[in-house]
Formats: sequence, structure tokens, C-alpha cells
Amino acid sequence: MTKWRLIDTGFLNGYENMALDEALLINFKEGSSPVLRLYGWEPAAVSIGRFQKISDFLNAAECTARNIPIVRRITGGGMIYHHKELTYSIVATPEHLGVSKKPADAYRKICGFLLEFYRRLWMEADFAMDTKGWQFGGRENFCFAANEQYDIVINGKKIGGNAQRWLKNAVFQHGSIPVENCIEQASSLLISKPDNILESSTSLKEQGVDETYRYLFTLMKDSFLAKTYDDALTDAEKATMNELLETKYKPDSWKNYEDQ
Amino acid sequence: MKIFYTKEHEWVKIEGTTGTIGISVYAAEQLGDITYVEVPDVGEDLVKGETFCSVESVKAASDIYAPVSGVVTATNDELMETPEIVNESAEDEGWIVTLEITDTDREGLLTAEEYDAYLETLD
Repeated sequence: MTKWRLIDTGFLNGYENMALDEALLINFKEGSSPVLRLYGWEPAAVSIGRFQKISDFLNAAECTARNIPIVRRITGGGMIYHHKELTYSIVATPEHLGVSKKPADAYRKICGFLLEFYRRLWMEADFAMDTKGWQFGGRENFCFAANEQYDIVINGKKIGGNAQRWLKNAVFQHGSIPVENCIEQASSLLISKPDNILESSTSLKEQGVDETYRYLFTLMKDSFLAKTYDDALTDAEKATMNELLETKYKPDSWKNYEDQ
Repeated sequence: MKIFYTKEHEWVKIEGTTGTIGISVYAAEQLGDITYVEVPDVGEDLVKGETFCSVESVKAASDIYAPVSGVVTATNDELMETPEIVNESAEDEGWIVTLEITDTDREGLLTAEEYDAYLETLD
């Protein structure tokens, strides 16, 4: 079975994080080893979906006033306020994952490792689709307020969120696991707050987990779908990341798509 | 009129030197509710096998690849406001662009029957 590269990049700022995720995908070629990247965000940042029009829902002036950078992801989905969370990204072929080229199959497989992670923290975690009475649907601008089949539910509350990007023969997925619940801070950046968001989402801490980030990242690695080996970024990945930081991931670059 | 498909689930309808491109019913079903279609500009050169737009659904953002090469002559601007047309009518009203075909290379294009047979192998 193929071993995956494990790249632990620690805590980076929002522009660096998203430039690096894209650099990993750009440099992923036929024959490349699949990648699991683990990371965090410092300082706190807001990420928005690839085509989200933020003037519809986000108070950008408030973000600026509070020195919270806004960065556009390469994946779809809603806005996330990244603070006190564990984040992962994966770059692989469907074959590496052992799935067909279907987003739903890839979600089930990849998010399976998150279920394992929660179980190793002695929690009862399930996919939303396997949770009795869970309501789906609705397009939400705020990721943690949206309800999709492969969201993960613990004690009746959604935890974290995940998003995918598909290229011809590569699937990219990244996702967030809140260590602490920052929904209130996130809500204060929105133009209008989603209903019941405080009651419907949760974090590790709220579920009684009080471990260090180092312990939690190690547990994510141990819960992963396949064996991994510690690896560093290649020169090509670093060069692409730096180029993207100069050309794409900059303050105000989220404004692309605002006029469409 | 002829219709061809690709293994990446795009279709192209060909009438003379004009092609119309979209994504297949199968692709639309796999993506789920489509929330945004990025439409290229008229006049843009599409290169066969290279990405020319993206479709975002509640599940994933997915790159769309040109089944043939050509120059974009029209875009389906209705998709900007109502991307769900792709779910409702992927192979008709959910078309994305028309183009003037500049290369008649048929490599990699499947007939409807071949595409149906290919889909059978996926499940």
C-alpha cells in the first residue's frame, strides 16, 4: 500500500496556508506520492469559498478593523473563521484513496479518518447522513451552519467542515476541526447571523477534550487512512508557494469575483 | 448534429464547425446541487484537454476540461444567476459555451453508446 507524505507545517498565516495548499495541488503530478498536510492558523483568519461573494454576508470592514485577514480558498463552500483549530489538507488520486471519481465517495473515505480521530478521543462521531433526524440542505454562506451528508456530528451537533476540489486526476480536500468553539467571534463578522448556530455546532473542548495541539496533531496522523512518512516541502512546492504569495494570495485579493 | 462525451464527463454537440459544451447528466448528479458556474469570456481560446471553467456544487469545486479546441463564440450567461439549470437540464439548457472548432482531433471523444458503456464500468 502506498505510503503518504506527511507534511506538518505548523501554524502559518492565512495567505501562506492557502498558497501552500494550492502549491501542493499544482505540484502533484502523475506518479507523485499522495500528501497529508497538517497545519494551524496564526493569526486568526477568515477563509471564503472559491466563488463566494462576500459583500452578501461578511462585514469586511469589521475584519479589517480587527486585523483579521480574508483569504479565498481554491475549494467551494462557505466562510470559515480559522482560530484555535486543527486543519488538514489531502492531495491524492482517486486510486490512492481506493474510490471512484465521485465527490461523495471521496468524502466518505477521507472523512472516515476524522471519524477514527474522534473515536480515539473516545467520542461517538457519525456522518450526518447516518444520524437519525438530521436535516440536510440549504446553501449557507457560513460553513459551520451548512448541513451536508458527510458532515460529522457529535452528540447532535456539527463539528468542523470540509471542502473538495477536483482536477482531472487529483482530488484535493481540506477541512477544519475546531479545538475551541469560536462561532461567536465568527458570527460577529457576519452581516446577518444564521439561526441557532451557537446551539448546532460544537468543538473538541466543548466535548471535554483538553489535550495539547501537538497531541491532537499526532492523533490525527495515527488515525489516518494509510501509513505516512514525515516529509518536507520540495523546492518546487516552496517556489510555487512563494510565487502564489506574490501574485495571488495578498491582502484584498479576495475581492476578485466581487463584481460578477 | 453529433454528440460526443469525454471520460471527464463533458459533452460536445457538433454542428458543422460549431461546438456546444456542457457537463453530462451523470456529472451533474455526482456533484449534487450546483451553486456556481464560472463561465469563460467570449473570444477565449479553449485547448482540448485543458481546463476552461469550474463548476461548484455543495459537494465540490470541479474543473471542467475542453473536449475540443476552439474559440468561444457564446456563453450561457443564465448560469451566472441560475446555476441549478445544470442540475435540471445538464445536456440541453445547461450548456456552458459554444465555440468555433479549430481542431477536429477526435482522440478521447466517446459516442453516446461508448460513454454509456463507460459509465457502466464506474459503479
